[in-house]
Amino acid sequence: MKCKYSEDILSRYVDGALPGRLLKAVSEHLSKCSRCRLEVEKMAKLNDMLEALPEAVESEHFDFEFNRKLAAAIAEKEKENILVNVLRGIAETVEQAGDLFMPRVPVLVRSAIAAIFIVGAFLTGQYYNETDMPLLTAVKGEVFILNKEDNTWHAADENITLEEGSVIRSAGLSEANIELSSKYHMRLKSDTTIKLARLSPKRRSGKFSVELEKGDILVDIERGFKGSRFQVRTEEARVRALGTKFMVAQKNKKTWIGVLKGSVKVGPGQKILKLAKAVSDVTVNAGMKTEVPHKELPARPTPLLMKDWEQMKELYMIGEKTRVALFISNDKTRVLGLLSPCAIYITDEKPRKIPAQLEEAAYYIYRAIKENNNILHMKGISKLEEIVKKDRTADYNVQLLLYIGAYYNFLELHSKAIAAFNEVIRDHPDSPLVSLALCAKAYIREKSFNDFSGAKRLYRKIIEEYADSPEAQFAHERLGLLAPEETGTTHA
Amino acid sequence: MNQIEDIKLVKSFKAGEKKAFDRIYEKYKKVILNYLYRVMNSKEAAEDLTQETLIKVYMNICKYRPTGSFSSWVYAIARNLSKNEFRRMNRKKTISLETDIPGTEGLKLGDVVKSDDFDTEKKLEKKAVHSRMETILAGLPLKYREVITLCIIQKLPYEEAARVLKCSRSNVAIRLYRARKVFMELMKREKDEV
Repeated sequence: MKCKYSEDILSRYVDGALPGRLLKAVSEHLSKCSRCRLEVEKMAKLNDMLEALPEAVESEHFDFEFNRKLAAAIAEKEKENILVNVLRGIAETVEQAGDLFMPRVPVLVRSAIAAIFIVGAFLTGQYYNETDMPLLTAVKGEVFILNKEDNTWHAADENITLEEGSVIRSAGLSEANIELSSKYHMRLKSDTTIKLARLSPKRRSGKFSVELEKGDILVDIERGFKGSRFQVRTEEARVRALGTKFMVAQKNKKTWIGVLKGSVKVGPGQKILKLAKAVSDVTVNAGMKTEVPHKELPARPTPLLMKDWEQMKELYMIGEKTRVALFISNDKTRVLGLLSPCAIYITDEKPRKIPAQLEEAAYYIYRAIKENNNILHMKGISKLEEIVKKDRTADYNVQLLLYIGAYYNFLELHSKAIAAFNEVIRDHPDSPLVSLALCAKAYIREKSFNDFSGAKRLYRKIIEEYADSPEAQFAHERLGLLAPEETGTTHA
Repeated sequence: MNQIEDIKLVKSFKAGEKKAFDRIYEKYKKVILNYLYRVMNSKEAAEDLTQETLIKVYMNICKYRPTGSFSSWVYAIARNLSKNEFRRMNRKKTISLETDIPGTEGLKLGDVVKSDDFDTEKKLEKKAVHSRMETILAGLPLKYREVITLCIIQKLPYEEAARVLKCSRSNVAIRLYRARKVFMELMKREKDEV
């Protein structure tokens, strides 16, 4: 005899998925019908057996791998974000360039170093005259450089250019960052000594060899230098890498290497180099580590574990710093681009150094343009000035001040504009953008104050003192045009 | 899964409280790993996809709207990733898993399993039973593996499973009923062969 409840109703009954009334009815039926009861028992038994299946247990390196992949995904996303913003900025500027004559709204972008490099290299007003030698970019605590002449240690400050043979030591609880062309970044951790053994840097290639005497270094090497070689040596091992993030730790006659991104080749130190490379070298891929004991071959790589994460995660942060880029073409007429006025892009590091004022400034400037309201314009500028005042030594102030100057000029507050440019010249005399500030000043003197002799004096100064700058050429041209008017000079 | 707790965690994570994600991670790591392990039949693939799922949760949490439960949102991400992975592998094996097992159409549970079937299993060692069950489960079509894992092994209510599997509640019930039937048939076949 066919029962009134089908098997799929019974299946739902077993899973507790029947509505109240039906549940009651089926329960009653089951108390009478042994066939259905048996069916339910079988299904319940199967459920029990399936539930009892052993659970999968994650591997030991699961958490590390998760953190590594997450950090990489976050860095990637930030890189995308800045590119999107920069592209949007270009589109907007091109769109507005035709008929509008107004400052672009500053865009605040937080980003990873790779993206900063793109902005820095192609869109800033900063022309590229940095030395291609490594720089000590950040110092925390006590960091020393060995003076080769008298063999004594000297305290090191930030922004010191390092050279081949430089020996750098960080004391306990101290740290130092070393950077080369925004592409190679190293962080010396506490109680670490390194020697820059070999440096033959060229603009886009070169050989870089670091000897790690003791301690820990984090290394972030970007791709892009074709034919480059980067190597870290210790007594026990040599580590070769490009396009990677890794850490090398030398302690107790052992060298430890962990890799977060890309892969590095690890071989033994000099003493057993007689062996064929193919035999002695191991490749350590992302998420793996190896160890090289004294006078031995590198161990077979094993996965990195969560305990390694804490000391390695910084690798996603080093090299990131605040940059403020002016969005102008990098040629002799860039002063005109600046005074157009230009757009400004701000990339920020983690944790953020650029204060919230910037977002407020962006908001005021946006509204000011929309409502054509001078009070709001001034509020926007005063917010930008607050950022400059907050940390007078910050490098990014140069770009901010140039922007402020251009902004005042746009509002026809020419004296205030000149004051802003003067601040660049006075407070940041070593900046490669001083010539731009001088030139902007000269151009305003010439065009807005009709102060031709003052303008000419400044143009000449640019030609004499900043002969290699794009402004020198511009100044030449202006002087040529101004020459006939020399007699009719007026002073503002 | 505790829905209220989830919502709280999501809220504080969205507000910038990074520690809240650690709790979400700890809470879902194991369940998603186990779900994917049963679906993918490979621990390595399951680990990779679990990491990917949790990364997607982290990156896209701002897109989560509390219309459905948070756990079904997480499961749905895991399921999408597993489907993509199968598509990527595009192996013959995967295709055959999707086809019905011949000879199981129109069967009734009563036809395939006798009441004493389970009693004989008592004689077998627990481990051997598990391994047999796992082999059978692994051999089931993907849609059956999914529904068995979600509803029986992980005890998700039909409603939540329906949200993950993007089908109706009654569809889940029917799929689960069929999955059970096929499972039992395969158990019987294997036993007969022995």
